[in-house]
Amino acid sequence: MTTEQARRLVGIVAATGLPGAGARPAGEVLDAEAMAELLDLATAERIPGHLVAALDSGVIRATPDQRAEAGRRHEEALALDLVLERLLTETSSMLADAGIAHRALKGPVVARTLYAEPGLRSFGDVDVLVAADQFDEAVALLAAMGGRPRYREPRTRFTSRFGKGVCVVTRDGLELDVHRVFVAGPFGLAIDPYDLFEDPCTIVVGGVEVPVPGPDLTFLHVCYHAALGDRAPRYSTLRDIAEFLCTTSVDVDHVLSLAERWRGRAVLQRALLLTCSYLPIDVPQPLRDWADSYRPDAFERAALAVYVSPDATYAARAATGVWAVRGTRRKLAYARALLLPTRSYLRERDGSYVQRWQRALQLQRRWRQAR
Amino acid sequence: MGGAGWGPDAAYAHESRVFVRRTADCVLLLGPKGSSPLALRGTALAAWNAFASPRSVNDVARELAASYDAPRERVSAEVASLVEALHGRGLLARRHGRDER
Repeated sequence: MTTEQARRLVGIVAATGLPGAGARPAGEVLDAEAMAELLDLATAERIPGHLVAALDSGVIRATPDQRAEAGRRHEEALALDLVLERLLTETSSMLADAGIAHRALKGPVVARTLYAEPGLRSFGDVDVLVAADQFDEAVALLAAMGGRPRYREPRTRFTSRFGKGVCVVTRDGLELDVHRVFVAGPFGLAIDPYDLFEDPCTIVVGGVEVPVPGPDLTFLHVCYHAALGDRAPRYSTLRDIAEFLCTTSVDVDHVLSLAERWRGRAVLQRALLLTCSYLPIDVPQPLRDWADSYRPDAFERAALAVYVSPDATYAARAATGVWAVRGTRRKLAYARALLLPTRSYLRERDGSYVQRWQRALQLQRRWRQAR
Repeated sequence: MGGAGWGPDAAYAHESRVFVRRTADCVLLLGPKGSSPLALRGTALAAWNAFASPRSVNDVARELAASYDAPRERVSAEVASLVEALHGRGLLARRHGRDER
């Protein structure tokens, strides 16, 4: 099976159960090699539950052994989901006890609020949004419990002022992403982190009430993740958007208003168009007319380039982020932290200040040309 | 079996702090402390489902023996063994009365 055929099949899997999905079988029973590839892809895309549903509905044909293997993979994913949900409740309770405002994000939230059965949406880590002014306190608390931040900051308090967040690896080797905002770089810096704490809701996980963002913010988060996260968007995230679009749980005016405030309407548009191109789903009105007609402004076009162009890098996003930082003093603080990081940070990255400055200049020049 | 007052008439029910996922033929369970998730299927799954509300081992064994047309004594022993394991993992909680959850 070619990579293209495998991607087509996993697309069929991801669409299972959507109103626009085909019900006809997608050809013959797959041979062992093709099924192994499909199993790996469905697992990596966090949709093993949809694969089982596709096999059971006959949309993809399988032998009994292949079906059993798909079921085993699904159970493995579900077992990890449970371990991660327990980590989420422990973390949430610990943050709440310390008086730290926080919200659970992504996998466990969408699994429980969007899907008919949470087992259809698997995940690989835990994401928690923390109030910017309590971010360092939260990370210190997790470190005191044995967590280890995966990356060093350019300077003290950089992440809590300007970053997306930090990945903390727990003593058990699980990944806990502590977010300040949804994404790194210019689109993340344009978000007002206080907006992310409006309109709170809760979900109950393992008998524990966990605070989560309301549906509009969750919708925007999955859109930011789909549009800017991975170079090829993950099917589970696209399916999250499709699940939102199949319901009426989003206040379109509010979503557009927030996206405008965050200079991120192009992100929303890209996420909607990507979802429609990968999955058989129509964007409902009035979002559809808006997505078809919206023309991104100069900032959005240039900012998108540092996320989606083939040579886009984290460094490019950091270097170009200065234009999205609000206020002259904050811009200067941002530039200073990136141009004059601590020596330990520099040793791990560029080697010398001169090399770092040259690289920053190149990235800035390229971004200005894109504008 | 651990715990004061244990007996086949003692009532048990799902612990509220359990993490659960279901598939077509099994349930995966994880308690609040230690150990990895446990998968139950077949009669063990049927027994788990029976403890959704407070029930005694005797009640559940009687029900399962009738459903599966199996010897009551053997089913009672298996249910008791399962309850002991699930209670030990923090998945089933002892209830003081049948109506108390």
